[in-house]
Amino acid sequence: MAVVTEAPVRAPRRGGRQADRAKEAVAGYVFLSPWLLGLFGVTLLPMLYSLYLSFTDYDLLQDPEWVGVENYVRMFTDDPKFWSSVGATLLFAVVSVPLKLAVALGVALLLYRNRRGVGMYRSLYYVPSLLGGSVAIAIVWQTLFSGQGAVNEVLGFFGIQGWSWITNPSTALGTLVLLAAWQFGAPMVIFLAGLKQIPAEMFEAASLDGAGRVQQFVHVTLPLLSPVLFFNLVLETIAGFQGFTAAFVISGGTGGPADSTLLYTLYLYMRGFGDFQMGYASAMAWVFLVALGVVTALVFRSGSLWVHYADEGDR
Amino acid sequence: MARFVRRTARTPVVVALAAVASVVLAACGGGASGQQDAGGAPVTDRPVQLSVAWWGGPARAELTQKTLDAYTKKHPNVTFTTQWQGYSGYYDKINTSAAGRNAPDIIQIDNRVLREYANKKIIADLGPWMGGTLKVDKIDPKLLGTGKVDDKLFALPLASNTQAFVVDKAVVEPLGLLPPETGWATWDEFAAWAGKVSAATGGKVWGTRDESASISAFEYWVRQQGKELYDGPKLGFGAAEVKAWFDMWAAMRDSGAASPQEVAQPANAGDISKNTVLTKQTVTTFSYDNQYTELVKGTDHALVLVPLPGAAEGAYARPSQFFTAYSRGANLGTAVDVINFFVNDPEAGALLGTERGLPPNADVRAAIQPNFSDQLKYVVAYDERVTGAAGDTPPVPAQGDSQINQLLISSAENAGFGRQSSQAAAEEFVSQANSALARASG
Repeated sequence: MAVVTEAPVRAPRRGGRQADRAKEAVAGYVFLSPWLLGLFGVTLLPMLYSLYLSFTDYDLLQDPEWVGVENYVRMFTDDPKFWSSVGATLLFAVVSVPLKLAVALGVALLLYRNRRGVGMYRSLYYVPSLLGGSVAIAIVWQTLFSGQGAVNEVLGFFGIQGWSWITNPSTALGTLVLLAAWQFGAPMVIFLAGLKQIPAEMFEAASLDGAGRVQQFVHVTLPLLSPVLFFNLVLETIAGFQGFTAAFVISGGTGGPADSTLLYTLYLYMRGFGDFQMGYASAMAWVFLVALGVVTALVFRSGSLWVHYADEGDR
Repeated sequence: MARFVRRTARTPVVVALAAVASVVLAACGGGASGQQDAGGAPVTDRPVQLSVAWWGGPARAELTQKTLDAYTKKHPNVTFTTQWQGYSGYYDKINTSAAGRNAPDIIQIDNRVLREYANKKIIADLGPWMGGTLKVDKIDPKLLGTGKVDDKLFALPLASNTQAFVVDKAVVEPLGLLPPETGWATWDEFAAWAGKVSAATGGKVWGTRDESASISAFEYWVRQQGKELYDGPKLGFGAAEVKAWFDMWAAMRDSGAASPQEVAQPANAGDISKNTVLTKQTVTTFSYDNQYTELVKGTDHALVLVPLPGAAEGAYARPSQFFTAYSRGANLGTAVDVINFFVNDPEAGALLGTERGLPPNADVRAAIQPNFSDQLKYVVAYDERVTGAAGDTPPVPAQGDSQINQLLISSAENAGFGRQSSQAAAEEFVSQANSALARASG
């Protein structure tokens, strides 16, 4: 920061200005270097390397062998498991993201007014998000929903015959969705902040005009909250497509039963590290990157239809 | 001056790029440094630490640790770090560490990955140590042969085992349904028996687990059809066999003899802790006979071993596990000496018992057998009875075998949960398996 202020003080000399500028540039690069190293060393070069690998047959141990677009062709034409994983991931994201956001918004609405002990409740409801991505919680989930688990005991108390939720392909993904929705803490906190931004006069004016609670929610809260909702939607969509840990732990690393929990990233991992097909896994990663980019772009496009920015009216 | 500065200002970036690139390249290249001392003697004059990895349960961990401690007692300069876990995910971990060039010095494997690991040079050719550090003359040549790939010894069998059904005696004996020691004459007879068990327990416990996803059980059955899992690098059977196999289990599920797939599914990945006889959900499940020691630890019920139904030729004496030496290990000679200790030392043999299977060294087996507990004697008797009538041991499975296992699980689950017809599941399995094998060996 100090570097910037020094430059104008010096007396201009012939050629000196250029030298100063060059010095500034060097200083700038020096200060940037940690970030640059990170960008090139940890992100960009490995990404480019993986792009190269995606056109090769690479088993991690021997040198990669160029095969052109074969990996991509195989993925789309001769790999039923690839399509199973696409289906499972889409289903997971399409159900879990709206559900998680709805729960987050609902809880935020309950917690945003200042009542006694509300701070404690906010912390308590945030706790699952702190734990949620962990292996331990996935194991707890596995135990809860197994055939002889706690969920079935509770159901049995009410006389309902449960079954093994995690080993049945029609419900296994559902338990993962539930686990994802349970980690609503992060979007909840963002919703809380958004709700606090809405001026109380708006609600007063609405209630003077005779709007009930539901009408207030639909016509005041939702439009004013829409930028925050949009932000959460983008973040959670991307996170939803990248789900891995829970699926890996609960299915024992197989994506079973019957590939029902074979999320895309899990399949990618199995190909790369289980089957030694790192070229294929790299190709999958690039297809994933492009697909996620398209989905995110679509979400952004849709934003112009329903996101309401308060300052637009002032223009 | 200015021009000079401008030029140098850009160079750090270039240098940084070059540095990163060289690191990447170095990581990708690198020679097989460990191979330099092929045939070298174990280290005695300086401290050596070796890492050892295996899959298995707590019983195996305890016995293996004791054996390693015994080695350290004899060779105080050698100490060990160990890592063990369940079977599922085990190879992922080894593969990842091998890719990172830091796999454990001594790796337990089974024949599913033997060919792959040998061809990819993850494990060292033990030939240079044979006759020196590594003694093989007391090991049955047939068993020793199962550790060879293209006539080179890459893996030393720790033990041999054979296929079995483990049956919950505590449930079936009071029902008067204890199967004879020789098992069932046919699969039909077995299905009828399992159906009776399910009916007699009032549907609380199934007669048998649905074993359609078990490649080991399938291999037994397919050998009875006169086929093998592999014909060289190719599949040794076709979609017709797979469909018949799936249909047989579907019929058993429908009649109530076999558990539904959702009960069977958790054990499909091969973890002994999910074994459905231990969880008391089924009376019968597939097991290798050496697992008996671990199984009886996990339940308060008495268990018996019974041969799989049908012709005895389905069975074979199988290498249960191998110890292999990581080819890039820094102390290959010492690692080989430890492997030799596990296989040939009577003290090690006494400690290990039959937990991994029967000791491969004939002298060791004879020396320790009198001291076996009744439980171990029971396993030995079963093994000798079954392998006496068994068929030939097939060659080392084709490269890509571990993927075939995964594919069978997927297809069996798809068929078992009714997501695909048995015909469609069988066809998909065979076509996917064929292309996986072609890629793996190509």
